[in-house]
Amino acid sequence: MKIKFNIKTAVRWLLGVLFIWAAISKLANPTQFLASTLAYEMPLPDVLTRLAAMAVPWVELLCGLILLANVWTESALALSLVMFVAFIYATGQAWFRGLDISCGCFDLHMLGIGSGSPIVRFIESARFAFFRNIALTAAVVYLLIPALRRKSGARSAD
Amino acid sequence: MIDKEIRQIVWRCAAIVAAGICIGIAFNSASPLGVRWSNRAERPPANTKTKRPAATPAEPQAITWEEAQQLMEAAAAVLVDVRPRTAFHLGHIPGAVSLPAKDLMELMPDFVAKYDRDTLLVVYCGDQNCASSEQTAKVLAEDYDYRNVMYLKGGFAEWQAAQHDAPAEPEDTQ
Repeated sequence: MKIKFNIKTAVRWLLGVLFIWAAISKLANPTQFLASTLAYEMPLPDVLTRLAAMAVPWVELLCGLILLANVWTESALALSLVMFVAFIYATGQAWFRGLDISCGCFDLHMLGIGSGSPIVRFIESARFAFFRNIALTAAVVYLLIPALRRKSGARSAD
Repeated sequence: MIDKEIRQIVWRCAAIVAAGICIGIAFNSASPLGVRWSNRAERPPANTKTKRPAATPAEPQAITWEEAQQLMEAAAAVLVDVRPRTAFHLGHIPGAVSLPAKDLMELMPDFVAKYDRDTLLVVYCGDQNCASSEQTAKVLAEDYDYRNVMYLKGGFAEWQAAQHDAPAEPEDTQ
């Protein structure tokens, strides 16, 4: 099997790996993820927040695997776009309201990085997560729009 | 034709979400670390005018939930939740009192009136990554002269994780 490598492939792989890392971080400690989710103080019913804490890591894992496998890619990208917009809203409102919370997105301990230093705290802050989510949304849009155009173009040619 | 493509993408998105929800619920039910569907029953605050059992340094120290639990069982500590009030209402360690860090200046007069300076305070926030417990503990010690202040290093998340390993608690008869 020949793999065509270009920037779009690299971005797709990056998104896939990030999703899998985020999912494993959350699945390793579900209660901590729930606590992080509750700390965002989103205007959601408690049971919905808990359902999100159960389902979001698995949706992320599936999206990551799908992006790496490059099947149903447009669907995974569209779903990623929806999730990142939700993450931007969540982290943005937390930053705007000055909530002192950690993002709960990635487990830096998996990379052997402790949480004590100010730099790590900044990386895990809602403010940093807000801008990171914007960058990842841009990456998703960068992949999604050409993919949709290509698909509609292929259909038109038929 | 494009409508068909979009419909296909939407259906596949729905399939991924549905699969995620089903696997998530199944995994959560099977896992001993899974989250609960509802909060534990809340209990009223424990003794509020308690004294420290032993001398503790003025500099706030980090303690684990296990150590905090021992102090709680000896009725020698007051747990102080410095997360925002909404997070406190959604779930907190039984017996904790709410003192949101961002409203500290406003709430401190009432707090000082209620808890004397010798009260052993154990401050906590969301998890090990939040800084407000340590910061608030320092403010309580340095600016408000509380002599016995500690903070729970793992925060609310550490307590939640500990509940999964703990045996069922007897009902509170208060």
